[in-house]
Amino acid sequence: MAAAAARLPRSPIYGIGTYDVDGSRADFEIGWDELERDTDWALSVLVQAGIQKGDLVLFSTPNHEGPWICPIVRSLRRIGASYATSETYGWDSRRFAMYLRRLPVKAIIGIGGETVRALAASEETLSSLMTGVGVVWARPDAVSALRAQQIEAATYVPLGPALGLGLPGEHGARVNGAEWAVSDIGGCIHVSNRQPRATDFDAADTGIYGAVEARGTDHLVVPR
Amino acid sequence: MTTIDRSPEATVSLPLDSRFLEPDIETAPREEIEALQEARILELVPYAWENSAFYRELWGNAGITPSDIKSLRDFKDLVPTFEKADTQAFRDRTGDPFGGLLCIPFEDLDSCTATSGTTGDPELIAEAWDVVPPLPLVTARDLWEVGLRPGDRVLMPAGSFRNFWDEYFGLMGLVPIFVDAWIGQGKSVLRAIEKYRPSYMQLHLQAILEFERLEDDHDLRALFSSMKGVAFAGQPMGQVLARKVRDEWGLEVFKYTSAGDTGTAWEHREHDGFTLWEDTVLPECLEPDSNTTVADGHVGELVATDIDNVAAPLIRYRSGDLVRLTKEPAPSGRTHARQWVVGRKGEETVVAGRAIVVGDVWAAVEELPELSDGMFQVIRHSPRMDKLRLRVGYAPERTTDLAELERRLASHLDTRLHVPCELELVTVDDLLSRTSSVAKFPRMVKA
Repeated sequence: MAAAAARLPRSPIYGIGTYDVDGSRADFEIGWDELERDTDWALSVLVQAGIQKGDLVLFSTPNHEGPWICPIVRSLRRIGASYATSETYGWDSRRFAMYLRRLPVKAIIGIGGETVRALAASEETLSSLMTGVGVVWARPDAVSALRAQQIEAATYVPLGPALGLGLPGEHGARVNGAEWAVSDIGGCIHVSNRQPRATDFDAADTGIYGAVEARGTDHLVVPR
Repeated sequence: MTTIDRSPEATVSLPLDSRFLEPDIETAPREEIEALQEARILELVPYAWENSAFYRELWGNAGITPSDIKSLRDFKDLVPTFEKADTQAFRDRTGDPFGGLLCIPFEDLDSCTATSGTTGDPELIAEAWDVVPPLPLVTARDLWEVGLRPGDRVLMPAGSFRNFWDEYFGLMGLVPIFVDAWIGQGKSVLRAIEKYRPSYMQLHLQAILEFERLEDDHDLRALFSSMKGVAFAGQPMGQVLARKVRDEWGLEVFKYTSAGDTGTAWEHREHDGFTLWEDTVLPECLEPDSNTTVADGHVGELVATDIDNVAAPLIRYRSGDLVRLTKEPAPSGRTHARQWVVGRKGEETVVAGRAIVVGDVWAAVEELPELSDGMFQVIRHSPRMDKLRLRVGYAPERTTDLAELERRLASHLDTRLHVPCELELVTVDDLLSRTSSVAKFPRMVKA
């Protein structure tokens, strides 16, 4: 069926993403060219974080985060790493824990507060479940709860249309400096695109509060 | 790795008005389908024997080796069937997380997903693929049948536990709208539909109930008018709800179901059975407790064999699904098998000496206006019970006197089912909040 589908004309864009800003919804188109550039950048972060061929990465992310997750999935496929999927919701923590119990998970991406809270109420501690996991990319609402349990966590956060992905040992999420200008206006993170994208952003409010500083060629955003 | 060439020269356009995405295979003569299946089976058996510890043990204990299998007939006569409990036991005994089914090195997997886990811990599903993950890909002909064509917009399905769908939609030339379609997001989904006019979305029961609550403030028929079709799975849809979705909201619902855990099987435009693509799965319909094939169109257990899965193929897997299966060509001209799901093996409950199945209860419950959502659970402590214990969800906005409703329901069930009942009435929302998964609403729960 793949061959038949591949004969079809390609869609003009990768898709239409959405994110929330103060209770209202912003949306944006994602073109194929910027998806490719976003993948190149995500690949560099994953490689720096030590992800290698043959590793297994466990996602805790919903399908509607495709605009931020797709560059990571494509990077994993370029590396030759595989992945497993679970939902972000507390009720799916059983599946999340099952992967950790049964498989040699090397990294986790997207664990959020709901999953942390659900697993805190279970018999197994997160620390015991995550023994052997080398890198954890957690959402801002889970980072401190994990650190309280002596689990070091880097940050994963969709920052409006931009991907925020931290490095292990670093507090905060990196944002591709070649692609985005990032500013903090009144404590709220805003982004502008530096390269042509299907949708232009001029100091667009991301709805995320935090601080920003330069880190090499990238930005480092520390969500509050 | 397969390279997809999407240059203008390569994208020789399919006739977009064609009903079939792959007409040659979709309408292939039965002999051609069986020849293809036999060829794949004769490759699959030695491959699984060589690479799967589980099959080597299962088949070895049955006294067969690959050299015994020289035809499709030999395969059906000699290769033993197995069920989920067998791989679980293998896993418990050996510590192999894949129950001995994995046929490739773990490092060569592309992705790993898991079953819904409605009846226990989720079971691992190993996936190896080139272009897009297997579960989305096997729906390509079905979404083409729904009417989706390149350039159409689609709402991204809510759940990711059976893998991500974005690359598949991209391959099909579709434009996904990444909006949170989870429970509680009904208004936001309706806004996205109004703005982007998508041609397709996946519905789940909770979403339908949420839209139902919003229909006083929204013209759902107008909003949904851009839809070529919607998909629905996870549990059967009651007749009352189906009429509302179809007749009042104007949606054509394409239900789909499991293809014996090898993929999915979809309804097509005639809505007459779920199509099993037989170039991906070899379906058999056997008596639940024997290797005897039931006659075409009669009820038996679906026994499935993956013939396009190199990672961890299921081979003569007893799915536990009771189905009617036919290999008669469909009115559309498609020649692949179709199934009608009757129920699950072991779901029958004997109450005061009378056999009751979920469908009997469903038909009776949804006849009362306050209960027309058809939301209920059978609370079972044993396959044989003195009373039928039911937890039933009522719509508070349509209920004025709960005690009267309970009396009326008891009387109605007595008339329809002729068994004593013990009832617990809760709101539909309360009932849904006890569900651990959007994928399936369990109709049978333990006491």
